[in-house]
Amino acid sequence: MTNYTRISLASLALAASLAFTGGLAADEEEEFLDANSLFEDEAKDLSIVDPLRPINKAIFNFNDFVYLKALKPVSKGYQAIMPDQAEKSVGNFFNNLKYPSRLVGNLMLVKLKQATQETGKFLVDTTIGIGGLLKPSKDIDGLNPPKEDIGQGLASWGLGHGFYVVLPFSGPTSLRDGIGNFGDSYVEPIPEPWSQVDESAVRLGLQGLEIINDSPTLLEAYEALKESAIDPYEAMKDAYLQRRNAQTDQ
Amino acid sequence: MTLAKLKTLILAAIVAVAINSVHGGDDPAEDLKAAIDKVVDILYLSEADADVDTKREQILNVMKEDFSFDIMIQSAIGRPWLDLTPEQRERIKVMMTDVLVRTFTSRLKDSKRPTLNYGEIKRLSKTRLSLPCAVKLGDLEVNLSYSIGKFPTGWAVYDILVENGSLVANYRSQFKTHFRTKGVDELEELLTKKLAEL
Repeated sequence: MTNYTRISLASLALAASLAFTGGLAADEEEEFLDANSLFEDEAKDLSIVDPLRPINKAIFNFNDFVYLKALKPVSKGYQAIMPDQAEKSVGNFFNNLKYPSRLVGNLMLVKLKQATQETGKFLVDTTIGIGGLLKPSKDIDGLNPPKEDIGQGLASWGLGHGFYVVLPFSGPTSLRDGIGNFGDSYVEPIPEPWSQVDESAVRLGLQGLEIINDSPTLLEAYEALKESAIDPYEAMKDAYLQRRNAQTDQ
Repeated sequence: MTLAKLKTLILAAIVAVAINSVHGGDDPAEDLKAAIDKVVDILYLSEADADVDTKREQILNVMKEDFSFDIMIQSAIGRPWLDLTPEQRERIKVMMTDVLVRTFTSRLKDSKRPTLNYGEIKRLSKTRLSLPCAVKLGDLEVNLSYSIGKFPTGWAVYDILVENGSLVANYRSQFKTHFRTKGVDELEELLTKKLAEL
C-alpha cells in the first residue's frame, strides 16, 4: 500500500466517521430549523456584475419619471375608455405577432415539440382567433407551451448574462438578453430593421399602442415593487435576474 | 377599467404570512391556508363594510395578536442582523411590516376577491415544507410558493416565491447593498422616510 493510498483511506475513514457523527447530530438537531441557518441561503443568491451602475441608475431614474409622469396618465386614460375585452384582444393580437421569436427561441433550445406547439397555436389563433384578436388556443391541450425567446436560446448555449444594463424606456436587461432582444426584433414583423409595416407612422403607432396596452399591468407591478422596496434599483435588478433565471431553468 | 390587480394579489399573500397561526398546529399547511384566508377576507371586504383605513387597522390588529415576520426579515437582512441590538431589531421589524401593510392597503378600493387554489404540499425535509398556491383574478394568475420551516417556536413561513422569484432573496439583495456602505441608523432613517411617503 503506497503512502498516498494509505492517506487517502485514512482520510476516507475520517470523513466517513465525521459524516456519521454529523448524521447523528443532524438527526438530533433536524427536529428544528435554526433561524441563523437561513443565512446560508445567501450563498444561493444570484448576482450580476454592474460596471455601468452610475449610468444605469441615471437611466433607471429617467425611466421612473417617464413611467410615472408620462406613461401612467396615458395608461389611466386608455384604461378609462377601453373596455376590458378590447384591451385583452389588443394584447392577444400583439402577443400572437411575437410567434417568430418564440419559434426561434424554441429551435435554439432544440425544443422541437414546443416549436410545433407554438406553430399550432399561431395557426389556430390567427385563423379561428380572427388575426390573433381572440385566443382559442388557450382551451386546447398541448397548445400552451412555455414562452421562449432568443435570450433564453443564447443562455442554453452557455452564454452568461455578461453585465447588467438598464435601457431607456424598456428598463432592465443584461448584455446577453439585450442581444436576444435585438434578435427578437429582427424576426418579429413590426419592429425595425425588417419590419413588415412600411409606413413609419403606422409602425410607431402600433408600437405605442402595444406599450400603452401592456402598461396597466406592468406599471402596477413596477409601482408595487418600487413602493415596497428599500432600494428600488437593487430590487428591480434582482427581480429581473430571478425572473430570467427561472425562465432559462425551465 | 382595470384588467389586473397584480399588486394586491401578491401583497395580500405576503402580508398573510405575518399571521402566525401556523404556530403549534399539527398541520402547518392547513393552518397557513386558514391564516391566508383570514387576511384575504379582511382585504376584500366591500367598501360598504370597511374603508381602506379600517381594513388597514384590522389587519394590523390581527398581526399584533401573533406576529411572525421575524424570520423573514432576519433572513432578508442576512448576517448584519447578528450585529443589531434587540431594540434595533424590534424597530426594524415593526417598520418593515408597516411598509408592507401600507404599500398594499393604499389601493384596495374596488378590488375583487381573488381565488386561491392550493397545490399539494411538498415535504422537502423533516423541517422544511413548501406549499404552492395559484392566486387567480379574472384571466390573471400568479403562482406563489410558501416555504415553511419548523423552528423552535413552531412552524413559520420563511420565504415566499412569487413566480419562482424569492421575495426574501430580493430584499436581501437590497439590504446587502445598503449595509455595504451604510449602517442601521441610515436604514431606520430610510424606513421612517418611506413610511411618511406611503
